[in-house]
Amino acid sequence: MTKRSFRDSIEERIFDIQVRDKSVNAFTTLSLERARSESDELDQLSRSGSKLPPLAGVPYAVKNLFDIEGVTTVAGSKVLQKNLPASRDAVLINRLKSAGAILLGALNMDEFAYGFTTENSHYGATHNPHKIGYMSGGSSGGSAAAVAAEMVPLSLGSDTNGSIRVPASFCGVWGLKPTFGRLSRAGAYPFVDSIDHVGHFSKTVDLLSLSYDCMQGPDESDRSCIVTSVEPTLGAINEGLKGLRIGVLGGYFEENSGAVAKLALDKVAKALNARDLVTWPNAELARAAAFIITASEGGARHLQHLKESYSDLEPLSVDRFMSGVLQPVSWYIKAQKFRKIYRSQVFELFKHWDLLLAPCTPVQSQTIGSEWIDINENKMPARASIGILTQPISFAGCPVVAAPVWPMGTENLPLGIQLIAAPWREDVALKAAKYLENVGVSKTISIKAV
Amino acid sequence: MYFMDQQALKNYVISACEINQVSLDDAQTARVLMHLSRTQLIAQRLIDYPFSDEDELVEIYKIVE
Repeated sequence: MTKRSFRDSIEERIFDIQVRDKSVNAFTTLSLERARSESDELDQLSRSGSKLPPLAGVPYAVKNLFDIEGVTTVAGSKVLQKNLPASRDAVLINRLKSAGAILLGALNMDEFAYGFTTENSHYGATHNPHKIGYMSGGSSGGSAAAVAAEMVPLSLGSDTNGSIRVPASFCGVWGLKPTFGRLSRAGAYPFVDSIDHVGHFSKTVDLLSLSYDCMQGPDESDRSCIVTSVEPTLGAINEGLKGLRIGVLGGYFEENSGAVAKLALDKVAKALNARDLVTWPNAELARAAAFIITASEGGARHLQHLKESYSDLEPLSVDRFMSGVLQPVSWYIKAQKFRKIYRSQVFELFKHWDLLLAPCTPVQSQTIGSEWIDINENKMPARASIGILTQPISFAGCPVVAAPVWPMGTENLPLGIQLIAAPWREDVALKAAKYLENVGVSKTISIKAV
Repeated sequence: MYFMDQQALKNYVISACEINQVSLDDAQTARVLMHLSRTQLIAQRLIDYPFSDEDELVEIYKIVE
């Protein structure tokens, strides 16, 4: 049988995207010529008999805050549309290209990453491929939806307070938010310098791990990227759970999880034989501090936009940015001081545990436009509360795999579980993820029609 | 626990916007005021936190290799 060419595969993929994205609205830009050119290069390499790179032919797309050479980086906004196109690719795109992956375009997000829903007034909301009319989650909603809808098996996103884990949860895909400082952010439009992480989504744990390995490495152009070497994970991913001390986060996390979230957590905890309830230190204060730092740094970054183009900014977040500008600096300094104490407390916890579990979101995906969610009979503002369980974790910088779970069966909406490891131990979270995938407790499912 | 009253907070919003050269209409001012009021409640927990003198942001003073 003749092997299909990379070009034929990518043409089929482009067709699928053009059909499926009509209802999902994940893509904001399609890089068709680039995709064709990259696939032709791979065909040429294949014909020459050379060894193909590890991600040869894997199609992917990126949240539209990553620089793509020749494309204007809009970060979900209207005001950046007038900027010149990027002169070069973001570092992670460069690394994926070197590994043979084929870039298909840029994906929708909340404006400047300030949101958990991808209800974008400029580009339209991204819908959940499992239920059109429902939220994809955010802010990397396009990235999660594109993977869930099988438009691409891999996508890049960013996560400051939950923006990979929330959409992974709502869309039922695997997501990895690595340790703060692990992957290079160079060429990714910033939101909150002191908390921003970049990471990715995928259809399988193997691809999540392999693509992560391909993206790792030091980068002098990003001072927050403090790694000195690559620590591959794929080779050890099937080692199982032997020796891992796994606990379940109680207290704050239990109180802020709805019934379906608790059911999803229970399934994962049983599969991983995690029985002990663990108290995460100062989760509520951490959320407060993350909230203040996010608003302050985000507001300061966009002050010029607020001065010049207030009415052109996203109505769902512009006033929060402005409020951030006006926060007294003493609040910000206290929040940063607290972060230092908090990180020490969290790191101490990981002397006793290797992996901790908590839901990614308090509830499943909600109808687009929902203003309120119900968490254990408490009515809470939807857009702020969807990240209630992710915010304290990223504030400590811990790596997290979001594992897709279908607590009410695959005919209903998914809800993700956070597999939280100690800083720099992405390998532990990925091993647990692979175990859950192997035993069928956590998986992505095919979309029948979108 | 101290909370600024709404009128005082509104005055602050108007003055601080002027300092930052951002012009808001009444509806925008009201929404920003609402967010800042909520954040004040959140910030109070941190304001009340028992920091010690040693809890400075030492990373700032570290020499970059």
